[in-house]
Amino acid sequence: MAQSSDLQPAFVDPECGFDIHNLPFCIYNEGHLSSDAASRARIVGCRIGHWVINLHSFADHKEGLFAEPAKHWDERTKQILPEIRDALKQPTLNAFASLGPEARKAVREVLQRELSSYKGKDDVDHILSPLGPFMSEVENVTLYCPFKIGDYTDFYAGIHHAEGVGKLFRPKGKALQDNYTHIPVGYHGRSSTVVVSDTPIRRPAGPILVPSNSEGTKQDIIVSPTRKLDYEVELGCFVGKGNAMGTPIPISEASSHIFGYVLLNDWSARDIQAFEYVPLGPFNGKNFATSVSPWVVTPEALEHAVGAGVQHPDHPEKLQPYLREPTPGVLNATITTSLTRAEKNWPTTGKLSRVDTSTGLLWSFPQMIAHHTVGGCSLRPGDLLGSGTISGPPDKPIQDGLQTKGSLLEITKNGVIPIPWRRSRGSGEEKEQTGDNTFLRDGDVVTMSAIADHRGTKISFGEVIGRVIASSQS
Amino acid sequence: MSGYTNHFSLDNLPYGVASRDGCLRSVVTRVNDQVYFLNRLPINVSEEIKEAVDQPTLNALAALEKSQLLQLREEIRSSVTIAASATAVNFKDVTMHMPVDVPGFTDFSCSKEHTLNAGEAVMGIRKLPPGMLHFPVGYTGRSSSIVVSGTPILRPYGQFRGAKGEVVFGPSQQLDYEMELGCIIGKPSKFGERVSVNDADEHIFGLVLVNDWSARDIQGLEMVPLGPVNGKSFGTTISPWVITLEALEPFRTEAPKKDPAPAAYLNDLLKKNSYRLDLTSELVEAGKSREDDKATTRLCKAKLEWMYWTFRDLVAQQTINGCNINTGDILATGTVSGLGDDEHGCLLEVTKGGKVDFKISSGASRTYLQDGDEVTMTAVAADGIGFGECSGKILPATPFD
Repeated sequence: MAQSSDLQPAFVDPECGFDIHNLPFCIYNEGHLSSDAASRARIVGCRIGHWVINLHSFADHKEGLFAEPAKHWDERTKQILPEIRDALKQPTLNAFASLGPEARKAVREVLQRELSSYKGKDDVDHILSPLGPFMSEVENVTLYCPFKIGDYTDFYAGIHHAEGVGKLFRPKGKALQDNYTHIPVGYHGRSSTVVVSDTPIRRPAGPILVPSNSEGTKQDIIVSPTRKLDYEVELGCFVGKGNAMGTPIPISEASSHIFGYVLLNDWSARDIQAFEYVPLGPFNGKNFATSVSPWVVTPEALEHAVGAGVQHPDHPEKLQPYLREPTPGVLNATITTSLTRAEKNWPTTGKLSRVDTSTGLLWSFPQMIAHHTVGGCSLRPGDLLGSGTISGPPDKPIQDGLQTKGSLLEITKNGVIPIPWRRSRGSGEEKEQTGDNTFLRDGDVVTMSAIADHRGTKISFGEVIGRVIASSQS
Repeated sequence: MSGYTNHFSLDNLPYGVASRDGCLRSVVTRVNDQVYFLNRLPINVSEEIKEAVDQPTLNALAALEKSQLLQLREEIRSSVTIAASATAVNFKDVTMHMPVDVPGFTDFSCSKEHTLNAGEAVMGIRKLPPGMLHFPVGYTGRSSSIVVSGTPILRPYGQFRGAKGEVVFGPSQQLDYEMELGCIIGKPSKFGERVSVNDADEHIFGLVLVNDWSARDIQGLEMVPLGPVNGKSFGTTISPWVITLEALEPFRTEAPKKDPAPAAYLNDLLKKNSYRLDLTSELVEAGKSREDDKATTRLCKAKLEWMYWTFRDLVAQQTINGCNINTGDILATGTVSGLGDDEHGCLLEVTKGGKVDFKISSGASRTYLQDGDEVTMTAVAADGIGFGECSGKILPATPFD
């Protein structure tokens, strides 16, 4: 496949991150959050520039996706063309993902060939055939969670985050547990509360411990809206092909079970989490909501963005063979997090952090997949894996004026230091915040966006956005 | 082999999913030894119910309003009484399947005795976790691992500490079972809204037995700080028959008094908030069949009513923070244990973490489960109202290349 920008359709801005090398999949429908959007069917789409291509209709069109199977396609791909067509007509990406990488690559190839024929045309309205009628502008569509998620597992692969949190809570003890470099540890998340970007996030309530004397030596138990609402910067990975129960996925095949990647915000209520997590792990402190971005970026788009993660003296020599990757598979993207906080009637947006994921992750998604299935657990198409919070190395807590940590827990040292972010308010003035400035307030909007590199071209993940709304309890 | 005929009187009428030769799986009930396919039973019900009983899972049925479900129950009762033998199939001639699609599975710790025994076995101290007396402590389980009774369970490979404390990789050497009950959610709740403990029963479709198979060594290495994952996710077995709360109505009883008094959201105004159910678990020795002499050993006999937290509490806890519950979700009690030595619902407790072995009926010794061992559990409210069986046999681990 040629890499030249000659292939780019002229109507795509190469700086937007959604050019012909990206082509993420999504689930959407036409209708801009109008009341009847809910009644319209959800359809499979693919993004190019500022447009979404309706793959559901394009799959069927006589001049569409599979009008002419490429001569060089292998027999298996040709055989599954009817299944691919059917899968593209479903209201989630699950069926399409279950067909494995060949189906995804075939569709991608056809789209790239189709799109590359549009060079020289400036205006998508002038496109006569066949793509024009199947394209909607991104501003005019409603996006949905791209998968029906059977199970969601959140890992803890961000070693600097794990160490930083360990130091916060065990200042005199070991920062990292002994198991950390042996096993990609994780916990089962709640799939029912994984929501797509732009879904409002209601502040959760639950039992928390609060100090009842000034020395902090006594505590009361109260049930209250959380006072320590936090976000966590993570990558998400959706499973494509699954495995049968009892049949582990070998590390050499693990990447072929990945359908694509999203951004993931693992909203957390730190006080609820602290009271409940011994010994069975986090539960209500996490399962009230998890947000994902709507654009599922493919492994093909990111083939030049995988490589080594954080180096550790025990890896790979002391790794069990089932976790030893043939080539390093840690995804590298630069994730930027902004916080918008309404002050009186004036929203203030500030970039808070930026982190290169490869500087924070010890484990890769293929390693997480191999570990998850090593005991026989089955992954199913549409399952979601989270990387765990990604924070940069502790010797570089700030880079280019931005934090490198992936949660307010770390940035504020569990509520001790106010959030220091660069605020832009038109005039560029910075203003000292009053009141609680350590964790999230009602009305806050957290936005994460990410860019990866494809040989000099930007690959964008889009954004995952969530606005905090007040608890329904006092 | 017991057919559990005496579990299925006309006062039970559980729901399950079954298939028989030449027929797709669909919704069934059972009376004595007869299984009735509800899509064949002459019953006067709405189109909605007719469609629901034609499905390959109970999810559509469970989502119906309770008033509809009560009507269905009455229709079934009169229809099978009027000698509907033409539609009856002997239980031996059907295959039971997973009764529900499970969108979410949560396991809680409802038993103080289990928690104290487990703490003693693992850490040497009898101590309840910080939250235990204030709310039901739980963790999310793996839905994809839930299988129906009778499905073989493969011994899992994993990492754990060897005899000298070094981390090794191999088949688990500490395979355990856990005797639990689970409630299946019918009516869902909304994202962002909580369900009051006093409204919880409206959301519960029925109960099943749950065997939360555990690999203690794998669990032990991974658990801190995020809880169990691979130590549990290799398999979880549920019984095929969903026992309705209607059938259990005469067996309501009071759960132990909560001390300290619970928070308002867990303040259940219903006095009889639990059920009188006797659970038993047995081991069938590897290489023997159940009819063989001394093949079976009673492992545990325990009562649901000993549980500190009730199913109603679990529904309230799952949703307190706005997490939603969906049709087919399972919320389980955690190991049901009591005070006595014969009242421990898992081998971790019986063997004090694998340190003390016990003799089974044949005279052979056990700490944890061996390949070929089968664990079978049952629960009974009274003669005529029982859960049938929840069983699984351990198969040897598949060697790693």
